[in-house]
Amino acid sequence: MTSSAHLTLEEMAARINGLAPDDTFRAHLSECADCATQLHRWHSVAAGVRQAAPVDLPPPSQPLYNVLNALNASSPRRTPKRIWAGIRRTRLIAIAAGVAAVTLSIGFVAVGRGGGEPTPTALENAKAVAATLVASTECADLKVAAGTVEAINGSSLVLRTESGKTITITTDGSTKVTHQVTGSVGDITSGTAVMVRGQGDESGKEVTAEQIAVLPKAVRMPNLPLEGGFLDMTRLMASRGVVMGTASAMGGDGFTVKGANGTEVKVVASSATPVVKQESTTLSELELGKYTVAVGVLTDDGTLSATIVQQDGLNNGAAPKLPENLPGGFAEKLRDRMSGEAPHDLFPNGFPKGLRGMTFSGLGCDADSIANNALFGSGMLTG
Amino acid sequence: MRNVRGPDGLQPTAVAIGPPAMGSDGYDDQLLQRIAAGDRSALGSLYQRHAGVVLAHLRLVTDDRGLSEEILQDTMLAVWHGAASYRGLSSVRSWIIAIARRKARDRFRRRRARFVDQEALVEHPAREPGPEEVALERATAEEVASAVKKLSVPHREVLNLVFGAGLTLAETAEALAIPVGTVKSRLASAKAVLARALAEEGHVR
Repeated sequence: MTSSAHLTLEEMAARINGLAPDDTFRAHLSECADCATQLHRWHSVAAGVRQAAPVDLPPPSQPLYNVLNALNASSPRRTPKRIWAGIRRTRLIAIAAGVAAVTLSIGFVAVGRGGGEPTPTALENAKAVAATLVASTECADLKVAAGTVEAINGSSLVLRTESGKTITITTDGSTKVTHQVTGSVGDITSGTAVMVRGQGDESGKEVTAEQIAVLPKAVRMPNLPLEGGFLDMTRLMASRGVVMGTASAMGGDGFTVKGANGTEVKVVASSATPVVKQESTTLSELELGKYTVAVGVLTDDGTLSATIVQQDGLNNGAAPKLPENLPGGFAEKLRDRMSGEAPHDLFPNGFPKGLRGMTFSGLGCDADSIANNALFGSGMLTG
Repeated sequence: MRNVRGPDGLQPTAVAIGPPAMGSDGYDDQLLQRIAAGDRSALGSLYQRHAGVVLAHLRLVTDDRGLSEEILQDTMLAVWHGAASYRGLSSVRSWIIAIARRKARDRFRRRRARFVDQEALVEHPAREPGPEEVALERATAEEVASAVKKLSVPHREVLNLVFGAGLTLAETAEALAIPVGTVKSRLASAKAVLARALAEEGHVR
C-alpha cells in the first residue's frame, strides 16, 4: 500500500475494527483529507452501531442450558464409551454456567462410577463393599466417607451414607475431630479462608453475605476443571451468591474474597451476619444424626481408619434439597430427577448429593482440604 | 482502545468499544471438530466465544431479547448437529451467523410475522456521499445508535456484521449469502440513509 492510494471500504473497516495496525494508512490519511473525512464518518457509524447492539460479555447462560438440556433429552449422538465423558462435560458446562448450589459437584468420583450397590460377590469382601461407600481422591490411600452419625462406640463411629448403607470409621489419638460452632465476623481476618453464601449481583462482583463459614487455614480449593478457563468460575458462583476463597481488605462493611482462580469478589457483611467455623472436639461430643465426613485409609476389614473427622452442625442430614436460583429449565430437570421421574438425564446416577458430586481434583493427599471440600461442598447442596 | 489479543492469540485481553476479538480461527476450527465428535465442553467454549456477538446481532435485527435467545438456542443446536459439515470456507463466526439468520427466518415464518426476506429486497442504489453526510461528523454515538435502530433490516444487518460482529467484508458476504460487491453497496447505502436521517434531525452545519 503506497501513501497515494485511497483507502478502500475494506481497508477502512479493517482499520476501524482494529484489524489493521494504526500506522498502516497513516501516511495516506495525513495527506488525503477526503479519506480522513470518510474514515471519520465510518467511525461515527461504527460507534453508533456498537451502541445500538452492545455485545453481551459473557453471553447469558440460559440459552446454553436449554441447548444442553435439549441434547440430553434427545437421543445422544454418542457411543456408549463416550457417555460418561459426555455427561461429565455436560455437567461442567451446566454447572459452570451458574448452578452455584452444585458448584462443587464437578466430576464423578468412584462412588458414581462404581454403580453404588454391592454385588453378592462383593459382599464377601468387606473392603470391596466399603469401597462402594467411599469416594476416591487423587491420593491413592485417602478415601472419603460421608453420612449421618448412626452410632458412636468409644473410638469408632458408624456413618449412614446417602445410599442407606453404613460404614464404620475408626479413630485413634492422632485423628483430628472437629465440629461446627458459631463464630463471628471478627473471626475473619486477612488471609482467612471462607465460604460465603448470600445474594450475588448479576455481574458476580459483589455478594451480600447471608452466612459465612470460616474454613480451616489448611484448606485448599479444588481445581475447577474447566477447559482453558473459558468461564470465570468465581464470577459465575458469585453471581449465584456463593464465594469461596481467601479474605482480605477487611472493612466496616465487609471484605474482599479472592477465589481459587484469582478473581476478587466484594463481600458485604456486618457483625450481624451469621458465621460458623469448625472447632476441635472429641468423638464423644459429636451429635447423632448429623452430617459428618471422614477422610482416611480403607482397611482390609472394611472400616475407614480416619485421619480427620468433621461434623457440620448446619448441615443436618445429607438429604439434598433443591437449590434456589436455578435457571428455569434446569431446575425442572433436577426436580424431575429428584422425584425419579425423568427417564433422560443429566445425572444418570441421580442428583449429585453427598459425596457423589464432590471433586477432590488438585488436592492430592491434603486430607484437610479433602475433608473440608466434602463437608462444605455437601453443605452447598443441602443448604 | 482496540481489542488486543493475548500472547496465545486466543483470548482478548482488552475489550473496549469493539466486538470481542475472534482470535485464531484455528482454535475455532478445533472446537468445531471436537463438537462434531460429541464434545459438549467444546460447544460451551464456542458459545462463550461467539454467542454474545450473535445475540447482539439477533437483538438488533429482531428488537426482541427473548426471541433472540430462542433463535440463539436454535442456532447452537444446529451448530451441534452441523459441526461436521463446516467446510472452513468462511470464518466460524460468519458461519454461525449465517445459521442464526436462517433460524431467525424459520422462527418468523412459524410466527407468520412480517420479516423482510432480505434476498427479496431490491438493493438501494449506492449513493455518492452527499452534503448531509456531514451530520455523521456531528452526531453523538447515542444519536447514531438511535438512527441505526430505525434503519431497514438489511441495512442494520450489514452495518452490524461489519462493525459490531467485526466480520471482514468477505465474511459478511458469506454470512448474508450475497456477493461482496453487494455488501459494499449496501454499506454505502446504509451510511447514506443514516446520514440523511441524522441530517433531518438537524445534525448539519
